[in-house]
Amino acid sequence: MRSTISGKYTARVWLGAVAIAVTVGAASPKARAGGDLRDVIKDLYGGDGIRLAVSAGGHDAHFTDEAADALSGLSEAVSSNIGGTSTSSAVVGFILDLETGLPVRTTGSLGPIFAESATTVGKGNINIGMTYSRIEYKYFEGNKLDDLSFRLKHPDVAGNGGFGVPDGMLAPFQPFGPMGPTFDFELDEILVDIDLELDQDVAELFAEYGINDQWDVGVILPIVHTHAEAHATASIIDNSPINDVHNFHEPPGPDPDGGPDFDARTSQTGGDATGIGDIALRTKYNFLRGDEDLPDFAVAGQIILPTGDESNLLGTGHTRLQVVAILAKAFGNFKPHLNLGYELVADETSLSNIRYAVGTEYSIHERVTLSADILGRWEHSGDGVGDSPVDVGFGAKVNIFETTHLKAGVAFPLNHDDGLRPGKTFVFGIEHLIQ
Amino acid sequence: MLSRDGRHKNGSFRRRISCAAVLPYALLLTAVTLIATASTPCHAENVVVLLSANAPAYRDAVKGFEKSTHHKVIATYDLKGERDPGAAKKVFEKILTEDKPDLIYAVGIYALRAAVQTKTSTPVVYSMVLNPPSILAANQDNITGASMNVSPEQTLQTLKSLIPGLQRVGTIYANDTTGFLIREAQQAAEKLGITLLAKPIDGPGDAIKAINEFKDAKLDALWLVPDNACLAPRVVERLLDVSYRLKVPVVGISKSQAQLGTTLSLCFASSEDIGQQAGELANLILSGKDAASVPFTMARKTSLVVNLRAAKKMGISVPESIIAQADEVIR
Repeated sequence: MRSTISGKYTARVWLGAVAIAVTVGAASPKARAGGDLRDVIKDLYGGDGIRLAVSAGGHDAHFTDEAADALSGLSEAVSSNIGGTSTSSAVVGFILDLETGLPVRTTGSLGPIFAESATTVGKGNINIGMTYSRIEYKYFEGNKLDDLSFRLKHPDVAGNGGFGVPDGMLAPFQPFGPMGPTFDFELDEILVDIDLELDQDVAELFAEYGINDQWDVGVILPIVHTHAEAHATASIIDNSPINDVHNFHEPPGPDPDGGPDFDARTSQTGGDATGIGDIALRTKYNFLRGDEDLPDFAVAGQIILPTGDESNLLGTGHTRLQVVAILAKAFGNFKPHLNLGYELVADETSLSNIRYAVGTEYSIHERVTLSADILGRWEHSGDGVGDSPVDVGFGAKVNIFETTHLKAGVAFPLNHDDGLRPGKTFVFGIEHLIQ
Repeated sequence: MLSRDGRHKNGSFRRRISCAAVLPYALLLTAVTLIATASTPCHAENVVVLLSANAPAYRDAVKGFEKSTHHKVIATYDLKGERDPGAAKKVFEKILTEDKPDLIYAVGIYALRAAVQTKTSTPVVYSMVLNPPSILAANQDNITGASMNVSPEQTLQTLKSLIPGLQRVGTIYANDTTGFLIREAQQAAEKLGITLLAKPIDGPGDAIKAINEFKDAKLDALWLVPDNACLAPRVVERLLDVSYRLKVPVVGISKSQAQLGTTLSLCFASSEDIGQQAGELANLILSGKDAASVPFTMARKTSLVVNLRAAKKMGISVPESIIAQADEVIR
């Protein structure tokens, strides 16, 4: 019940707030000193792998290259699995009931939390808002991030293909038979335990404008804060009958970094980064709405630009194009919906994927809508890591005042063993439609 | 008469030429001035728009209003579907005190209700309202507008085109809501040589009883009026049931009713045109005409939906002329 004049004033206030947030967020990424967050694992132990002390007998740091490769590989796998979050808009509109002459709300539902709605904001209207997500990554390929471990084998110094496996032992490791004698010290291994903390706070500011009643254009500006911290403990496992060939310190003694014993060495790295994430430009066209028999139907397109600093885990580093078909149909208080789309990752096609969200909204009150969704994507040409993550999300939207909505939700992974997965993702948001 | 004095003669001739030349120019100038005065206002008056909600149909009505009036819309208020009469009235009063418009354009039923509740001499023109007499109180001489109703005469004429031998049409209505429509329909029916059997009802329960009584009324057609008491699903279902049993067609008020099984449906076709009608009424009032002397209008552009499947079940052959004028044909 506000005049257009005061409506425009409100719009200016909102846009001002957005501008301030953008200005704050637009500051260059603030990362830890000394390296990129993407390399937080790789940089453990100084970034060159795990270096042993040179033994009195002249035995050198033979685990260096292997350790560096392993840490780098894990680091790459983790960072490449960090993805963007989704946003959605809920718009309450009115249509005229021809039979009664009364304006009626177009939808009993305030819209989904995690999926896209088929509604558009309406000609000349602006929907603005902010969504805050807290993502705490907990699993990588089914392993807990705070309990990652891997064993480093000793290189095949002798060059006989034995890889530290003595003749006659562990035949499965020698599919072509014993390769000849090997040095006993090649049996030694290093066990690396890593406790990785990886969290993101994402504030997405979004605005959508209705070019006409069917067609919206919009922009999403994410401000991302990433915290990554890795603690590692490397222990030497003396499988060799000869003691003290491999040591972190020469002569063997207490770990100067405070490690647990003579044969262990710890390392810690990490930090924080804040900055603009990957900006999305989007459009949506509503082809069908309010039909008695057919579902509401819209198609949304989105281009996500690699504006976020990939090296500090603020963006993916890829330009992505998304096209999503959106279907929804109300049955009483229930409104099931389906999003089905494709994301083309322009410069890394192996990451291109089919995306989906299927779920329902349920209006428990004119001003309150609950929603549940199963969300996922499938990388058809993926590398086997994080190719088909599936999540389930629950949430609620509340119409607190006129055209202002609050939303809150939480999502859980249904499969922990596919790539980098969060434990729980919390989402809170507010949006306001300026008419 | 020529004189011998050529100069005089010539002089006199020159004078006659001057008079003859000036007169048409003077007349032309006068005519242009009069036309310009008639078509261009001395100044544009201020209009405030009050929307019941931000619905596309209402926005189209505003578009039509602005097309047809030269007066200036200085502000637009939106009730956002607010059904609380007190809150809507406050907005209306705010318009009166803060904007002080020369006319308020009330779009939709909630905006009209706000106007009805507020005592003012400021003229109000409404649009996109069904059955406005049921909302207006007595002696509200400052309010007129463009309704969404289709004229009963047009409805009966369309029925007559469908059934040339049409004699008896049955309908039910609630007097408070659609009594005005029935009174107008009675006059139209008389002109068309039709007997209108209109049964007043008090509510849906009453409606079922009234519809059952139609079974022995030897009707040629049934007419569903835009009245909430008649639009309850069980009432519409019973009416269609009787219609199919008696094999008499029903004319309804919306496409969805035609899809349900009425043979015809007739409703307004353009919100923008209704807005234009309202703009024309606003022009009349702002040029000095008393709002009380400007009657409300009914939709001049209508949309006809013909259900051929229903007609077939009724045993009616729909004339080509009706199919040709239909906006949609259900086959």
